Amino acid sequence: MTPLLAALPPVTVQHYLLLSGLLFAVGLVGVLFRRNIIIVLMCLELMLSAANLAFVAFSRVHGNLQGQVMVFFSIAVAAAEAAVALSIIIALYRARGGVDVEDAAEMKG
Amino acid sequence: MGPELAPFAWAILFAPLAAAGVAGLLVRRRRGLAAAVAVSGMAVGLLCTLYLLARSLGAGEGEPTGFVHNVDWIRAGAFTARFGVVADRLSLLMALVVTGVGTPIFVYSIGYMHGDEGYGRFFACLSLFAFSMLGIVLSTNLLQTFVFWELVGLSSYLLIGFWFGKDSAVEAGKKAFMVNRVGDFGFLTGIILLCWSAASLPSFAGRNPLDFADLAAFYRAGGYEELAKASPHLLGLPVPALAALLVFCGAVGKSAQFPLHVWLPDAMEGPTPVSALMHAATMVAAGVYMICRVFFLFEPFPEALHAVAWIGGLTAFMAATIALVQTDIKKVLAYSTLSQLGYMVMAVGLAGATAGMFHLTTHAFFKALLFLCSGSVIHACHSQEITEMGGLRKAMPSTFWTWIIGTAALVAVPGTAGFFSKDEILAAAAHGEHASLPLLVVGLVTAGLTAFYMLRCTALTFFGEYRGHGHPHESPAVMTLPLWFLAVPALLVGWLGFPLLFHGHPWFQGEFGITGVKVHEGPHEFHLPLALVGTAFAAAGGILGWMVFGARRIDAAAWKERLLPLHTLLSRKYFLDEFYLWLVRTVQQGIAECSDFFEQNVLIRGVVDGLSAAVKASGRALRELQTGSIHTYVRFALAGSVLVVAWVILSAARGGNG
Amino acid sequence: MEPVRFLGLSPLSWVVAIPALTTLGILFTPSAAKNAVRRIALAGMTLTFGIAIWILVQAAGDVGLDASARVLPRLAQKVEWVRELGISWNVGADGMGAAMVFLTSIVIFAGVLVSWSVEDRTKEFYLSLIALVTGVFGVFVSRDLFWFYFSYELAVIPMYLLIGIWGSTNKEYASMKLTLYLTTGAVCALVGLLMVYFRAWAFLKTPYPSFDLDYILMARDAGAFDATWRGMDFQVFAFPFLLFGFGAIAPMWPLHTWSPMGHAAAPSAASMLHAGVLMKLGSFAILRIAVPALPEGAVWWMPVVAVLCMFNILYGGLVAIAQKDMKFIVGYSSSSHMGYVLLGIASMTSLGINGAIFLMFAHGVMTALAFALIGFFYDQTHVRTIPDLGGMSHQIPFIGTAFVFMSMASAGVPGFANFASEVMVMFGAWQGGLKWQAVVAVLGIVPTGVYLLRAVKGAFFGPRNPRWDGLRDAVTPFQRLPFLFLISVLLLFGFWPRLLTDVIGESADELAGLLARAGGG
Repeated sequence: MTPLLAALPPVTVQHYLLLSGLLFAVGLVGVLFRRNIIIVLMCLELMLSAANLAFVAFSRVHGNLQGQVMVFFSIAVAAAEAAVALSIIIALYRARGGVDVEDAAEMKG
Repeated sequence: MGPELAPFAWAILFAPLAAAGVAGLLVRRRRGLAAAVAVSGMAVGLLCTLYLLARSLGAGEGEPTGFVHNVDWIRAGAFTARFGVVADRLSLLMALVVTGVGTPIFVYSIGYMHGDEGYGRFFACLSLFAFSMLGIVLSTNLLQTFVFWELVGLSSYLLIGFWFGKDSAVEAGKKAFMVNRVGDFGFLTGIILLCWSAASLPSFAGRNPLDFADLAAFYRAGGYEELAKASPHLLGLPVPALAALLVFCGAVGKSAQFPLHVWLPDAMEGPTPVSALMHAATMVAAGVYMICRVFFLFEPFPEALHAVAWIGGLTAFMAATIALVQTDIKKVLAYSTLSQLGYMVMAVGLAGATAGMFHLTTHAFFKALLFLCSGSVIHACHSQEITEMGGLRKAMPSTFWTWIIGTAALVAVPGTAGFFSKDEILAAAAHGEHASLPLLVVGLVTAGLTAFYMLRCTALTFFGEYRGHGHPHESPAVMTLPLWFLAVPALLVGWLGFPLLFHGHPWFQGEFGITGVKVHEGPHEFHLPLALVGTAFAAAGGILGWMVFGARRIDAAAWKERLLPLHTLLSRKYFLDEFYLWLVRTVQQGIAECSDFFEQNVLIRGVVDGLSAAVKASGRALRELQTGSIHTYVRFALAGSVLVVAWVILSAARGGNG
Repeated sequence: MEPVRFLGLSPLSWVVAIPALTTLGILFTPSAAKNAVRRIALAGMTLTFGIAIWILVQAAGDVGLDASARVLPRLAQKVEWVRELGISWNVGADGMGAAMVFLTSIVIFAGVLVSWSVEDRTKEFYLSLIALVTGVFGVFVSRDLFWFYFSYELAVIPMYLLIGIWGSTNKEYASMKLTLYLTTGAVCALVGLLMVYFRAWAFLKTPYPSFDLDYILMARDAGAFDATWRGMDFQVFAFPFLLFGFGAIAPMWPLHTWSPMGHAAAPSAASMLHAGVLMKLGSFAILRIAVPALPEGAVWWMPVVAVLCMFNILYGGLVAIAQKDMKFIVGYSSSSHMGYVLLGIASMTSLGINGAIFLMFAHGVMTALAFALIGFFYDQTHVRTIPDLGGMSHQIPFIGTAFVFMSMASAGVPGFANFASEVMVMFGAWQGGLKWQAVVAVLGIVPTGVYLLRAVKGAFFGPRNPRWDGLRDAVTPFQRLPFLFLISVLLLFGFWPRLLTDVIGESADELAGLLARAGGG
């Protein structure tokens, strides 16, 4: 361990959680306020990553592998989700000629 | 005689039913066979009745004169309804009337209904009626009586509306059924009331509260006083008296007493043999028979008997006045029947069961005879209006002479059947236990009126010139023979009640019925003065009738003008039909329409559709939240999760503090 | 006590299995083979009818025997299904159940026969019909609350299809209304059932809960339902959920409005089943589950039923008088007659309950006959309102005669089973202290007569109407069979009511005894 690194305060689980929370917040704000659906999707991925980070951090704290296993699941599902979402986006683009979420308001009551 | 003879009694009951089944289902299209089956069913009933009656009358000293045979029909909990036959002198006498009058009428129908489309159906229905009627006669308990009571109503409905293509016939059938139902409402209520009031008494234990014999034994043992004491008064009457009056309601319906008499004249829409059998001789007498059967219910309550007598007297008088102005020959006879039924009911109220039954028996024969004669006349003239008849005396001698015999009996010419039975009623009104001067006057005046309208009818039908179409001929033998067959008892059956002949005869000793109906010591002494007064009234009425319509010494048309309001009142039957029509068309229909309005508008359109409209409206309101914008949804989700987290934290905090 | 099994299943299980297999058989028959579909349905239902008769005969033979000598208990069958929730396939029958199974088999047998003329989507029609009746049989034989509820719901869905697809007169509205009412009622009843279910488990503290009716009754005897719950007597609190939930299908006033409309819209066979058996599910469920499980609740609530049933009887009859559509007349008359059933139950006497069950049977057969007849002429006339009809007896005398028989049965004329049962209810009501209700019940025979005779006259009597000259009567024995069959059943049990009342008697005695004990304690 180098002295520089040793001089820094130790990275505790709080740091990971803080980072995870920040990432989640960034993602959430993006989902809430951006209209471009690709950005929205990327922000969603960001939120997922935040959750994954928290999982890994807790896995480390508790000293077992359950959290990491969960992350693998989550990544796999996220990949599938991204594939489905992107194909929906393409379909939307073909149908509407754009990727603005406000255009797709079929669910309006 | 004992229950070993039960098969004969069951045969009386089921022979006509079997005949109805065979005639209606198997051989309906083979006309001759259907008729033969029906007639033989009735004949079997007649023979069995005669045999049992002979055994009963021939019963030795101390030997029972009747028996009862029961099977359990319904059993549920502590309740047992039985089904059985009773063969005692009362029921056998009535069965003799039914089968004895029924058999010739069945034979007569072979000729009368000849060529009708529904020949097989007619005999099936007629046999069904015979079964139902005999069921009432042989019934051992109140519920069984009610069963056959309704069945008689059913067969009456079917036979009055026999020509179902004719609206008036169908309407008349419906009216008969419904008016009877009103009476039956009272009847059944009375049965239920009596049944449970009696069953609730500890002293009644072990008996069946529907059974005539058990109830009668209970009443004889002073049960009615216990009954009156045990139960509170209902509608201001002691319970047993109320029960008796409610049961009487059934008789008022079936025996067409005021105010439920309106169906009987309309019932003349049915074929004439039906009118003769059901609406003159037997079915309408069922009410009188039933009161005799349950006379023990009335006996302890003079007020109830008084009410019965007055209803009868009122009916007798009112119907006789209406009969004065009728122009339809069957309607004249119908009102005359009403009037005579009134006599019978009055007789039961005044003098007890035997007097009523005596008049019932004589009346059955002579009135059936008169109806069959009228049928023969209608068959010949193709009209029922006496204004379109006349002079038939020469064309139809058999019909004429039998009609004269029937008329004589009805008018109570001394020596004929009607004379003796009517005399007994008048005697009861004059000297009996419950003697009543006003009712005696009613009886005498009605006797005069009877003679008047019968002479009027006879004069217009058989005397003078023929006023109708075509040339009337005497009916075939299959129709005239039954007339003569009935004429004999119409003349002679009354002598049974002639005290000088039969006083103290063993036939009139012993129990008249298993319910302990008292035979009043054989026929009474003969009241010569009263008989003379009665005959004088009848003669006065008859002579007046003959003067107006036969000899034409008095101008009928002028008198009609002079008494026009009275004439209108009578020919419109005291406007009772209009009143009932108003009741049905306006009141009943109005209530029904109101209920329907409530159903359609308040319940369905208001409550039910209102609820669904409320659900729809809230759906519409909530759908505004569904903007379609993903941002909105996410914001809601966010807000929701914030709330949840906040709640979790807050409750955790409170838990930590507490 | 050797159980009676045939190929591993009790006859009671077969009563459900055969209709289910028939449904499968129809499912795998090509749509074009309409006659094959009909024959499969008829064969299956004939077989079921045979089993139902066998069961009824056994039930009749059991009357008065020792428990050990009886056949009926040997028919019970229990197969565990989901242990953790306590669900098992559990069938059993007493006299009441045997009578209801018999009724259902009669009605569906006649229903299959009168549907012979259905040409539109025949396969799907029979499929729905038999699926419906599978559910009905399931309710009548089930002794497991889960299967009871499951079958109950199973019966509703095909009815929705039958009315919605093959119906007439406002069918969308009617089918939707019917489904909503029945499912809402069922959900309400489900709440009550679950209350009882969890309460029993919490009290008995067994490892697993159980939907077994005997388990519930055991809990009742142990006093599980005697406690108060949030300040209310548990029984008094839980009973109305079951009462009104099941009462909606009974149909209890004022929850009845779905019923006449449903009758009117449904095709003949569906009306027959609807009025003949579906409506009986409600009162059956009250007697089978609600009253035995919560007798004290029943004693508390029965006076309410006694008031509501008067509305059923008189109000139903009066509304029927104002109707012009024949099916509505019979529909409201059904609601009036079901008032007598409710009155019999409310009387809480053995006589009244026996009469109520008997009347459920009699009314089921009678009303099936009524709808079969109306359907027969409606298929040809395409009108069924009274001023338009009239005089049809000249052209279709057989149907006219059968209609008169039906009306007389419905009007409570003796000789038909309806009279005997209604009289039992009237006597029972008075015996149970419901004197005014008894008087109203007797009075009810008057409007009944009015609307029925009006219907007979309006449709069949009167002068010959040339408009109906083309009508075809039921002439072949096969066409006449369903009508003659139903009439004979009515007459048979009308002439000799003990064939059924003795069978029902012990169930009724048991219920009445239970209620008497609950009322006393």
